[in-house]
Amino acid sequence: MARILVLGAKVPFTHGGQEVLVATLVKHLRARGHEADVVELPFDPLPKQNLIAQAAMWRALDLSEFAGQQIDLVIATKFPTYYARHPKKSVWLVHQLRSMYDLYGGQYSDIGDDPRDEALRRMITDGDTTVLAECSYRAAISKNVADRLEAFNGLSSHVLYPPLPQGNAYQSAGAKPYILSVGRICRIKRLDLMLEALPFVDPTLSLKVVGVSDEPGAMQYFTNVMNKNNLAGRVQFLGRVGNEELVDLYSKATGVFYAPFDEDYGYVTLEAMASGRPVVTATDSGGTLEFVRDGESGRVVAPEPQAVAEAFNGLVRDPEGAKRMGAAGRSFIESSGMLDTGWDAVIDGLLSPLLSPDIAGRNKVIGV
Amino acid sequence: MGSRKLRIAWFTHVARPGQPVATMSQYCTDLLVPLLRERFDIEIFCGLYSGEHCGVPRHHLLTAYQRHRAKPFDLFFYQLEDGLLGRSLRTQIGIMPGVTWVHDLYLSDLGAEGIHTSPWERSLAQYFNPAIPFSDRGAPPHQLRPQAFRETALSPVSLFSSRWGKREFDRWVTARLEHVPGGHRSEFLAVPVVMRERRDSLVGDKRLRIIAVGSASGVGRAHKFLPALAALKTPWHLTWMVEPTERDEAEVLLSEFGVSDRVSLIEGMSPQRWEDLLRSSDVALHLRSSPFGHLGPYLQLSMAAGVAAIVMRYASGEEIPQDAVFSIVPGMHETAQILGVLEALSRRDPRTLAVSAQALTRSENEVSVVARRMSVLFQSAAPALVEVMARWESLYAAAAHALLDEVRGFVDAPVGGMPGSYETIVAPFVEELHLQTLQPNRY
Repeated sequence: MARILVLGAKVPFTHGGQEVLVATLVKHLRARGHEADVVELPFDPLPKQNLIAQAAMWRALDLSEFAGQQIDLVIATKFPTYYARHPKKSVWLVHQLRSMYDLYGGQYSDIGDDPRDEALRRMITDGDTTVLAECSYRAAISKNVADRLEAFNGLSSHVLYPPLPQGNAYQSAGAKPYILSVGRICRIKRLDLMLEALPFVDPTLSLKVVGVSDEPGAMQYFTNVMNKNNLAGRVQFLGRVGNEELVDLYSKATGVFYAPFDEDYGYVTLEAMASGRPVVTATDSGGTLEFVRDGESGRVVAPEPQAVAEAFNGLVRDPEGAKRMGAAGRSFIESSGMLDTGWDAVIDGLLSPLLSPDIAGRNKVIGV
Repeated sequence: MGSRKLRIAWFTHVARPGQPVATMSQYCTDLLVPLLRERFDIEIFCGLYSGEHCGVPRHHLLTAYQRHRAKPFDLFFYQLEDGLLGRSLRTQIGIMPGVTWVHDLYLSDLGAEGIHTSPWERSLAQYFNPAIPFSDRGAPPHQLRPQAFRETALSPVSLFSSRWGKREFDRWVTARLEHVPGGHRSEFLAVPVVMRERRDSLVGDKRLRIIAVGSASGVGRAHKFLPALAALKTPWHLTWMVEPTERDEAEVLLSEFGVSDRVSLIEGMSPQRWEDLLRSSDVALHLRSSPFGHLGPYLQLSMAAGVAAIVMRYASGEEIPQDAVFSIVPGMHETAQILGVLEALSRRDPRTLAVSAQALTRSENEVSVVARRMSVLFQSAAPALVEVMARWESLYAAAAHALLDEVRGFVDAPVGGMPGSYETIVAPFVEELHLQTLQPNRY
C-alpha cells in the first residue's frame, strides 16, 4: 500500500468542484488501503502579480518525505499545486489558471495588454509547461481540459472523468414544479441567464438555487437581476445544503439548469443525470457538452434567456418527454462508470507511476 | 533576410468547422492565403486550436509567442474589425505590433475588456523612452475612443479596405503617428472578390428582383427602403438577408409597410449566400448608414457580379466611384431617392452600370490583384518591422523585470514583523524555471 498526498489549492471559505474532487479521491484511496492525506495551501487569485509568488511557494515545498516517512506519490489537481516537487508526481488536472488561457481577452479575465500582464501570462504558461511535463502521469478531468492543455502547452493527457461525489446515492422521484440550480454563485456560472429567463418560464415553476457566492459583488448583482425581473417570490437561495438534502433536491426537480461559460467538467450535469433529471445547458458551456445530448438527456440551447425559458417550458409541456430524457441520463451514468465503480479506473491511472516509471502520454478517454 | 520566404503570423477570425464565414477577416483570409502561401511562410493564428486552414498551419492566437520564439516571424499581420468575433484579435495587437488591415475605422468603444483599460499610450511612450517607469496599477486608464490609434500606432503601414477609412485615418490619426521610426504609411487595399460570370437571364421575369443585406435597425435604412418599395409601381420581389437575431424586427417592419407577401427573409449573413442570391438578382441594396461597420464584402460582390448596387453616400459608401453605383444622399428624402432609382431601373436594363462596376472591381478587387499588392506591401514593411519588433521585445523584457519587482513588493512586505522571502522563495523559482528568460526573441 502506498503513501500518497493529494494536493489542493483552496480559496478560504469557498467550496467548489475541486474541493469535492480532492475529498472524494482521498476517501477512495483510503478505502483501497492506501495511506492518503491532503496538502493544501490557501490560494488567492488577487492581486494577479502575486500568482508568481504562489507558484513559487508550491515549488519550494519538498514533499518527498515527512517525519522520516517517504511519500510514494503526490497527485496535483490544479494551479499552482502541480508546481510541487516530487520524483513521482501525477496530475489530475481540474483546470489551469483560466484567465491566462481560455478566458483570456474576455469578460472573465483580468489579463489585458499591459506588457506586465503579457509577461505574467508568458511566465505562467512557460512555467506550467515545464512543471506539467515533469509529471509521470497526466490526466485531465474532461476532454475539454485535456484539449486546452494540448493546445496551449503542447502536452497530451489521459481523460479521467471524476465519478460522482455521492456515488450510488442519487435517486429519482416524482417531479415537483421547480428548477434547480447548483453551483458556486459567480458570474462565470451565469445564474443571471436563468434569472433573466424565469419571467418567460411557465409561472408554475419556481427556481431553487443551491450554493454560495465566492465572488465580490456577485450576490448583489444576481439579487439586482432578480429584483429587476420582480422574481422575489419565485426564487429561493438555499445556500450550502447537506448531502442528503442535495440528493433530495435533485431527485424532484422538473429540470436542472447548468449553463456556465466553458465549464471544465461540471459535477452538476452528472449529478442531475444520475438523479434522472433533464439538464438544460448552453451551446458554449464546454465540459457539459461532453455528456448532455440535446433532446436525448436534456436540452442544449443558445445562451440566451428566451432559449433557456423555452427549454424549461418544453419540459412542462411534455412531462413524458422530460421523464424520457431523465431516464436516458440515468442510463448513461450507469453505463459510463460515473458511479462508485468508476473509481477503479481513476485510481489505477493516477497510481500508475508507482508501477511504471514513465507512462505519461496519449489522450485516452477512460470510463466512458 | 536573403531570399528565404518571409515568415508571416497571420491573425484572423476563423469560424468553427461547419459554421458559415461570418467576418470580413475570414472572408479575406480564405481568398488570399491560398494565393500567398507559396510566396510567404504563413501561419494562421485565431481562436481555434491547432490544425490547418487554407493549406497552412493554424494555431491558437495565445501560442503566437511560443511559435515566434521557436522560429521567429518577420511580420505580424492583423485584420481589425468591429464586432464580438474580432475582439480577441484587438487585444492581441497590443501584445505584438505588426501590419494592420483595418476593415472598420471607428472600432467600437465597446471593445474587448483588455482594451477598455489599456495602458497603451503609456506603453507607447515607454517604447520610445525606456526611462519612463511602468505605471502604478491603481485606477486603470480608460480608453474612450480607440479609433484605431492603439491598433496602428507601431505599424509601419496601415491598410484600409475602404477609401473613406483611409481618409478618416489620415485626417485623425496619422498626425499622431509621426514618431513611428521610418515614418508611417496608410494605404487603401481593396476587399478581394472572385470575378464570376453571371449565368442568369432576365428574360421571362417581369418583376424587378431586388436583394438587400443588413440590419433591420435604423442603420440598415429598412424604414426608408421599405416604403419606397411599397410605392413602386413595377412588380418586384425582395430577398432580404438578415441576422437571425433581427428576424422578428424585420417581420414587424414588413408588416408595418404592408409588403410581407413580396419579401423573403433569409436568416444568417454570409458572403456565400449573397453570391448565390446575386445569380438571379437585378438590384442590390447596400444602404448601411453608419460610421461603424462596413459594407464589404457584399457591396464588392454585387459590383463584381454586375448587379446594380444602390449605396448610401455616407461613411464607407462615400468614396465609391459614382459611375459604378447608384448613390443615395442621406437625409429627409432618402425614400424618394430610392424610389426614383428603382423606377429608373425598372424602365431600362438594370445592368446599366454593370460594365463600369465590373471594370472597377476587376482592376482593384479581383483577388489576384489584391494578393499581388499585398505581397508588395509585406515586402516593403518587413525591414521597418525588424527594429520595431526588436525594440518592442526589449520593452517586454523590461516589463518582466517590472513584474518581478511588483512580486518582490508583495512578498517582501513585512507581515506581523516577519521578514519577506523573495530571495529565498521566488528568486530561485524564477531562475530554476528560466522565467527570467522573457528576454527579446533573437532575430
